[in-house]
Amino acid sequence: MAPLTEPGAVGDRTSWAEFWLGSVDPHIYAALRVLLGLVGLITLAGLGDLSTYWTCDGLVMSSGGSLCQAARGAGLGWLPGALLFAVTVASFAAMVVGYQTLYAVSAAFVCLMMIVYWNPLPLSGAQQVLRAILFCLVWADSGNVFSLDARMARRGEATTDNAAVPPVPVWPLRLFQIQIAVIYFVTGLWKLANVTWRDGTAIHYVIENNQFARVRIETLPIEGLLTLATYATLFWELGFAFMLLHPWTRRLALAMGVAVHVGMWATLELGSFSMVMLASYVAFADPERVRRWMAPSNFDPGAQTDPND
Amino acid sequence: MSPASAIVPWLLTAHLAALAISAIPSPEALRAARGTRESVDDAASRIVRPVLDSAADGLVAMSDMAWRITSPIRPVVRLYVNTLGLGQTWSMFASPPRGSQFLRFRHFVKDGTAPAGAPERVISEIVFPAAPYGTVRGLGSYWHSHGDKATSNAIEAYYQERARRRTAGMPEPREGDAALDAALARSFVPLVQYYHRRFAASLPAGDVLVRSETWSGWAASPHRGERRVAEAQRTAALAPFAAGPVADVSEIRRLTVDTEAIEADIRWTLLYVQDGGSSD
Repeated sequence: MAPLTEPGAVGDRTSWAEFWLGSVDPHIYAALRVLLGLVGLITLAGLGDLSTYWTCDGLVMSSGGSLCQAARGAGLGWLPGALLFAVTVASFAAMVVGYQTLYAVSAAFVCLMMIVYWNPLPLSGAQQVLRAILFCLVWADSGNVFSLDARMARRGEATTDNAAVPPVPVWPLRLFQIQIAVIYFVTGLWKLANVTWRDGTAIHYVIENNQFARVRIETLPIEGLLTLATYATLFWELGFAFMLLHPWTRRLALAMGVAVHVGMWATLELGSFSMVMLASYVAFADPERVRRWMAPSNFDPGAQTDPND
Repeated sequence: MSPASAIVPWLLTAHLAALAISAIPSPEALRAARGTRESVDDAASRIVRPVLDSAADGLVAMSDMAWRITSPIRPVVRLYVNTLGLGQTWSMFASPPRGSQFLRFRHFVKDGTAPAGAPERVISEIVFPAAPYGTVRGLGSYWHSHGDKATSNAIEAYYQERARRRTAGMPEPREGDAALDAALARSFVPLVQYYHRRFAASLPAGDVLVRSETWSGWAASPHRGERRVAEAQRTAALAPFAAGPVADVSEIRRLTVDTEAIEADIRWTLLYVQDGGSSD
């Protein structure tokens, strides 16, 4: 199967069904699983102040609810939030190491949903993105390789580390890619609707705002640059989905994305947003390259990974 | 083709269609996101802005049409995406704030051993943003970002509720407004109660926290091409709070909701009052 990243891959396909029902090397799912698991743990580290973000006496949306009232009455106001935090940490940790992978990824997704019901106040777009892309990963065979599950499975079989890894369905990866494309396109449309993005002043106001900017700088000397940065961001987000359709523009879109998110991380404090987005870019990498990077001993240039070839 | 292979494309198509439909903004939300133009054009925007303005008009028209067309199935879509937590409202930084916001508490403290009628002490603290004004936000600011986000979300919920009440013709809230408390029970009220309890826990033995006033501060940002005019005054006004709560000796009266005060270029507004015995 030709991965999305081969030149003209999409245009050359004879079957739309193959785009969705083809197969791919599972290392790309493993890479996404590990990276998103790490991002999840970093996010939880930022929310690690249990007394503030999780307990019934904290800055918690559910603090006035019946569960908290009952828990406080029993002297256990710390318990519901602390339990949810612990289970979430365990889920993401299991994701990273690939232990009971299907359950770990599913549990991480469910925990993120429950956090929204427990206390959405400290959550931002980063967690919303993480939830959306974890939903895609739930459907993927992300524990076949680079995981404790795979190692334990091999222990019970007469196989070696160099055995060929069977390919897995590609459609979760397509779902993942389309979700990222939707995120950028929709956020671009929302920005287009706002006058500050159209008149080029949006990033000027973001830099002037006291909540996000890392350093308080005078914007007057760099106004022209900020206008250009505003337009570049807007056009890139609106065009991202379309730029994915050709390998050359795809590389440009991803390169611009790396530049934008690294630039955002360097200049603005946005929690784990840049990390989540950059981790998701692995979905657009060449699966063969990911496999070579993750399992060089398994690399065989002549090997066929698609059983239908 | 196996049954699973036959079904998967249809399920995926349905899922992607649901995501696309849930991503369509409502006409009201899109209108609220428009904003008003306040800056003059520079060389680049003089060329680009008119093109984007036309594109935005077309976008609004298409969005309105898409919203109307998808209205019949929207309840089902909403149920599906909301149940899974997959709402597609990706409006991050779509409407960047055009100023700096602050949140300040004025805590009224009574000495428990003092005779009745003894004056209360007023102690102020700025809790948002967590980082002192003008400081560099390094790697450590990552841990502040979640608290700041919680506070900004709660403040936004407060102003949205105030706007809703105004649109509904309800009277402006006063201290102890039960309807306001109920509407903000899962957003602004937990925020206020948290900081009220936190400050109460920091008091020395014998002191009693009898009241906490929640003040929102707003300082407009200069427009493009304008120089900051009150930065030094703003910095001086906020500097005392960098080290923590500050005794307020200039104003010790209990003030009412919507009272305003000006400090440098910051306009402070009293949003909410939390009494000492009602934080549970």
